Amino acid sequence: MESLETIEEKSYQIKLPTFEGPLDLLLHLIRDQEIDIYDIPISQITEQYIAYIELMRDLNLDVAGEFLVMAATLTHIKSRLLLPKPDPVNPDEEEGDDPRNELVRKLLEYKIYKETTSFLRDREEFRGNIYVREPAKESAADGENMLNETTLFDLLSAFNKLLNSIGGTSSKEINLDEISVTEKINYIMDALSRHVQMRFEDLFPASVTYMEIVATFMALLELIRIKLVKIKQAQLFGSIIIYRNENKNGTDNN
Amino acid sequence: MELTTTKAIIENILLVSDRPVTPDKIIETLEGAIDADTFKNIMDELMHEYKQRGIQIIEIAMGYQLATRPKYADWIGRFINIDRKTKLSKAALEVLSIIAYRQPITRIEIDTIRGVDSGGVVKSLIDKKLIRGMGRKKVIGKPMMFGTSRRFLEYFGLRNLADLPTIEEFREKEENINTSEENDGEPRRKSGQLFAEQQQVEPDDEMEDEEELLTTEETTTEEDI
Repeated sequence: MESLETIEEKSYQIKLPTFEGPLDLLLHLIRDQEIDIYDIPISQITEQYIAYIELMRDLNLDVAGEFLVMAATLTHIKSRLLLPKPDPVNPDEEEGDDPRNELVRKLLEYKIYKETTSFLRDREEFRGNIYVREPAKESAADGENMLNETTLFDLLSAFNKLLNSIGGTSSKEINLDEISVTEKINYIMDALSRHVQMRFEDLFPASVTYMEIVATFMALLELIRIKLVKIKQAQLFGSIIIYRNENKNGTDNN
Repeated sequence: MELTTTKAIIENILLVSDRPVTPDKIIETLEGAIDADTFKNIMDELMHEYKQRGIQIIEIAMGYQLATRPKYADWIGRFINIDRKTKLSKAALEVLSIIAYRQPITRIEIDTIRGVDSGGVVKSLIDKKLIRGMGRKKVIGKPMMFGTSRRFLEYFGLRNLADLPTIEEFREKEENINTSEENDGEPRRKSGQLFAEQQQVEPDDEMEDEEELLTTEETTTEEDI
């Protein structure tokens, strides 16, 4: 165990690099002192860790909650190590014997991703020196992700408009026609096999009932979800166009 | 169609395209005049010819693209007057690399690995389109799972995800450096393949390979959800 002075010295030697989190800080302490990660001197590390956090506080830096949780974890491990070892005759205690294991596991995993991170940094650097033609504007392929998000609202407002347009026809629907969503899915797919694409409005013939509209709409949502169809909107407030998604075969089926 | 003509057409397409041109797209454009193998041969030839040229053809994001050469970067930068010095933050890269290797992965799972909240970073990566939603995990709360996008490959100049070194390569490098005694080997085990069992949503081919590599070495999984 180190004396307080050396700890303080150590802490102040750190030129306060920013750490991404408690694991980052711990790895730094471990590397800095060439500690064997498989045999961490917990007392020592805990004290240094806490000293660092106090330093951050003294400097009025925000100490994220996660740092404090780790301080508690370290203290807890430390206290467990001080407890007498369980009876060695009774070794069927699971592997979690050493209270440090869980922490070491996390540290090692995190360490790997620090490596992968520096790999990506190198790639970024390298790629940064290669120029290609800049996309003229947000191209369609880029927009795909957005379509899922933004057009959901557009879809809903189109749906809303449609419902409003049929007004009070719902009063006649007493005989419970079983209109299934599956049926409507088939209807849409069938329509799309004849036309490359169609407008949202065209899915709903003039004389449809309220229930049919709802079922068709749900069918459409389902088809979008399982990626059998795509929707796009050529311009803001323009018609929503529905078309088959050629290169997907709906992997997310359940 | 003569091969030289085909080659010329492809070259022209590369010139006008502002995105990596995929084999599928070319073959489709040429209405099946060539098959994938022929295409590959033509591209190899073209790339070879471009070795003599000031510009190059790069393989990137599952396609091909005309590109400048790194050694002229300063000149190009001066010409187009764009500051390329804006790099991703350390946190962003960290989250991105975790997602790259563990996709599809939820935000909570990322947080667990990093030991710190990643919400803001994930959000900004979505805005930058470097990651994308990959459906929802079938657990309580149905959290969104994330994976890398095509833009990710473009940004880092990767042909596909298989271009990333495997986790094992990193680990071996680590172990070579770390000559200390083995302990009982317990902590060395790759942690948390908690989602190995979950189904892939929209798997890219390479992604699947990657996923396999990541999971096969796992023997036992701790119940540490």
